[in-house]
Amino acid sequence: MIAKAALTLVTAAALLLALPALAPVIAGDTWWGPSAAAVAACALAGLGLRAARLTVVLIPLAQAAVVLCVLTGTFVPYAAPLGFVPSPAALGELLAVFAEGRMQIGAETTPIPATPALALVIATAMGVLAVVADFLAVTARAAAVMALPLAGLLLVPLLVDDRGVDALAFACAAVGYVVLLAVDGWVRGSGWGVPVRAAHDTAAPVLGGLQHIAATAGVAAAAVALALLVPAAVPGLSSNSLYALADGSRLGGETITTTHPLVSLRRDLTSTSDRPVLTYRTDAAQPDYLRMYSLDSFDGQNWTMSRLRAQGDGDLNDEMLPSPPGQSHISSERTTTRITLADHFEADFLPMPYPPRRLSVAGEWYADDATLMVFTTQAPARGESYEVTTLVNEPDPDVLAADLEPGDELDERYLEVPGEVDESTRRLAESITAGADTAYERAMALQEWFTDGRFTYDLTPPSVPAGEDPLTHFLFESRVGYCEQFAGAMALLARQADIPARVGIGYTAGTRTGEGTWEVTESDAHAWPELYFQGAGWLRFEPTPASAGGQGTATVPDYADGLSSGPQDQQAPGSEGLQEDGRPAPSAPAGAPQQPAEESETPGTAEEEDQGGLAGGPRDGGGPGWWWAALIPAALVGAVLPALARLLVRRVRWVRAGSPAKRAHAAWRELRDDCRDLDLAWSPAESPRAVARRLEADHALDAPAREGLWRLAMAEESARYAPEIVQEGSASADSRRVRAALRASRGRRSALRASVLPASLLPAPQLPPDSPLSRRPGPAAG
Amino acid sequence: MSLGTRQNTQGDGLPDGDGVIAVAERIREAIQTVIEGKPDVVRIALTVLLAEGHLLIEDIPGVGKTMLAKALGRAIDCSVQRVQFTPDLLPADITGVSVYHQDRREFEFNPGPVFANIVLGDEINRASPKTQSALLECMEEMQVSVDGETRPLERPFMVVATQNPADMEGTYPLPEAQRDRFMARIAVGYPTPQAELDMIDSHSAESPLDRLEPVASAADVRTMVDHVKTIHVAPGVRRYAVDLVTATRSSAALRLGASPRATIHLVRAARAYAALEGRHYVVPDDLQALAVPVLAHRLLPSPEARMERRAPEQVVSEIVARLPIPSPR
Repeated sequence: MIAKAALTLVTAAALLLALPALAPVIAGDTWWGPSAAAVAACALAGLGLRAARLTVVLIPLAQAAVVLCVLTGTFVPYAAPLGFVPSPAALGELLAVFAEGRMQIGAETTPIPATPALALVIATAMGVLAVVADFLAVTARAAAVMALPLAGLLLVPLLVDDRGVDALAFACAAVGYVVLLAVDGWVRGSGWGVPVRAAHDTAAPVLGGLQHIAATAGVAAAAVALALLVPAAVPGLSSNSLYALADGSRLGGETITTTHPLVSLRRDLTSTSDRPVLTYRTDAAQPDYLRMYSLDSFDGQNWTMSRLRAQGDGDLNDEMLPSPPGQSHISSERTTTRITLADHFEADFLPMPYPPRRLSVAGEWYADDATLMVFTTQAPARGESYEVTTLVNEPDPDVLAADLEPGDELDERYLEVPGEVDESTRRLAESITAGADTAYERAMALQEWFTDGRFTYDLTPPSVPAGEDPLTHFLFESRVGYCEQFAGAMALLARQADIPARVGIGYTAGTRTGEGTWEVTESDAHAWPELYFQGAGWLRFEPTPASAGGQGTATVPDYADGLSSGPQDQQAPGSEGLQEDGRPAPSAPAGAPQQPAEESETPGTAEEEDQGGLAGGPRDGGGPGWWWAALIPAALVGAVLPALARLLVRRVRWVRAGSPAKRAHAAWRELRDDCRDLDLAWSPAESPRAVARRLEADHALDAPAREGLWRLAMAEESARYAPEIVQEGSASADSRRVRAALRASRGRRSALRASVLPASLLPAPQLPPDSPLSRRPGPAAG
Repeated sequence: MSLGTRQNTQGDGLPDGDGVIAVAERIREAIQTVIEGKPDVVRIALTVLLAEGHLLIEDIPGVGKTMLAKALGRAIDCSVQRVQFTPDLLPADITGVSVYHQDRREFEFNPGPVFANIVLGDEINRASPKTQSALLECMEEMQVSVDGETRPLERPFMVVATQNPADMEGTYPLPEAQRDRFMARIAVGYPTPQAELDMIDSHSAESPLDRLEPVASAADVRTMVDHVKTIHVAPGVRRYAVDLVTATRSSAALRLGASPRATIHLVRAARAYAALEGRHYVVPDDLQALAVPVLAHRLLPSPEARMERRAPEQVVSEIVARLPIPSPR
């Protein structure tokens, strides 16, 4: 009775200790009182009902009724008879309040103000948890399963709050759980009576301690390995919280984090499908590319996106966007584009021409300050329709000629080149741009170098030989690739030539379908370099060959067309792109999306793509690949730790066994541990020959193994009990032989488990004490 | 027994160890011509003989208690006396009396039946407690005190007492203190159907007891007893013996645990048992095999155990099955 009371109280205490974990997601402190009352009422009801010896199945029902009364009395006493009786009317009222609380949870962001309605929802949840927990821990005597309700509670802040669970709150909950387990263990133990100590045992205390430590370490290592492996194996779980640890650089106050499907986009970059992804109507004669992403970070292998930063409330309906950076001269010319996404196309970044000024879109969208990317943290849009007003991006020739130094407002990261990039690329950039005076001229020289025929466009470039840097391979050897390689390589060379650069990804302008209407298909996905010029802002270039031999709908903007000197050129229809030297329409969006340009397929592409898919991946060298490379071996090591520990124990045993007697003991302990590994019975009450007899009878051992077993048993017996030891044969050889025979007789599965998870690393189970041996003072014998 | 098949070759190395086995083997075979199908009972009886203990045979009438005792006495060429205990038996009928000798004008001591190597006390629980205790003094001290004079008894000296279960009619159950002096108690039990069939043949014409010839002398037995005292008992085994006895004292199922004398008896019996196996050292298996015969008759079950009909034998078996054997450091 006392045992059950203790369990009831400890269970309630464990739940209450987990309650602080909810604090971060709720503003105010009026919510915990009712929750605590619900838990306490449940526990008290449990105490009383068990004291009254109520049938166990009725206890949860009665407890639920009591909790309901408490909730009624707390929240709608005015509607209830006697202030707490849950009459139908009171229940209706309660339900109404509950529904209000649920709506509040659905509508508001964390922390949610602690209104009475919210408090009711939480208290109800806690009441249900308390009833369930009480049933599990006290009635079903499965206290360990309490981890599930507690984990459910801790999951709430994890799911809704970026900051996760407060360490102190987690510690509180863990302490409650551990105390619960301890009390449960005590109750179980006392139910068995007082344990008989194997007074003269035996196993050296040191070895015993080692076994405890090894067991603990094994469990911990397995847990860590699982925690690392499972998210890795489940793509949906690869949250960025782990990687966010590595990148604190851009963590800002109102940072909004999102993920984006670069991986699927990369697939699109090589797609030749004609499936439409969007259509748009524009008043521009020659639309420009539709950009979705700007990849600003190069890690030596891949272009990735830094963490986004946006202000505002997520409402971009008819809103002005931040000013495009770097543009000193704002042209008065505007184009308006109304874009309709296809139903199957999921976009969490909106494709639109650069630079957008004003946007009309429904739903929650944010604009990144630095890049003007428009994105959502909600579910991606499908079939969305929105209207964007864009500046005509035509730079003033005077500004370009002035060759201004980039101002402070431009982030340093656009010039960063990781150390591992081959020095030859810098020399290449220098040789290409030799003779160019201004940044703009250097950019033009770079584009021309890519488009003057030395490169071949191919959606399936040859694979890069192992060990070779894909970038240098593309630039110096194969010179075969598609937009991704062209864009990435040019952006990198531009940075080497001191021009701030990034890679834009999106779609080309697509194909005209009527007066002012255009259609963009998957095959229009494209990547291109964007270079920055102080005063002119970000300008796109087009190093990828266009037309039939390249990206079909790519266009070269006027300002980048080597044939035309000025930005004000005539606009060519962007439909069928021209090749390198194709002439571009300045204001026309064009679009083939592309991807972070990087060289062709890099070794380990799959892993890196995953990383690229994380917004705000680490920007420092090494990138996310480093994590993977380290985690998988670590996980493997964790998985083989128990087996290694077992081998170590065996090795140490034999090494320390100097004398024949010690060798006999070591062999016998090995046999004991092997039996425990194989899940065979082993009783300390059995003498060596009794063990040998039993093993011989129970298992079909071959003759050599049987003889070896008896040699081991007799050696151990004589080592223990005879004046001098009899040792025949080699103890270690016999030990091996017997182990092999036992494994064979137990079957492959048991043998495998014995190798991977040797049970002998755990402390030996205690004999169940039972009545004949339990302690009782008896009269002295006569 | 199966243990015999696994005896350690080391034991064969001692010359008189060989002799012990040979002689003991002869005695065992001789007895087994009379008591068929009960090798365990014979083995315990021999063990007690070599350990210089006394044997209590308790069973229902007619299963061969007296036969076993007689066979044991006859197989060894030594003096055997038999006392049929009855309610009117007096102590002097056992120890002997001093009679005044008219010719020499002095008292002369007429030794009683206890002055023999093997004394058969038949149905010992039919005698009065006074007579029982007279025998028990001899058992414990190997001497007889009559008229202020102490006379030692000749070695080997072994009392083999038989008794019917206490709940039979007309019996005085032995008090605990007296039961404690017997090294072991065994029950003969019913023979198997086959053994009983054979018995019909062998017992129909003449008793097989009549054909039993002595196969060993008293001196042989003394040699064997001396050899048994040299058997090695490792510290772990001693500790195990103490653990076993201690466990009976702390068991909730027993009202009275085993005495320190029981510990001594247990180890002595284990030595003899090991010698009979041809081993020169004791192993825990010996103690396990002897725990029930040596310990059970000294124990009193607690009222709870009595209600659950758990006999002390059963409790001892459970302790043996669960008590960890001390293993080396």
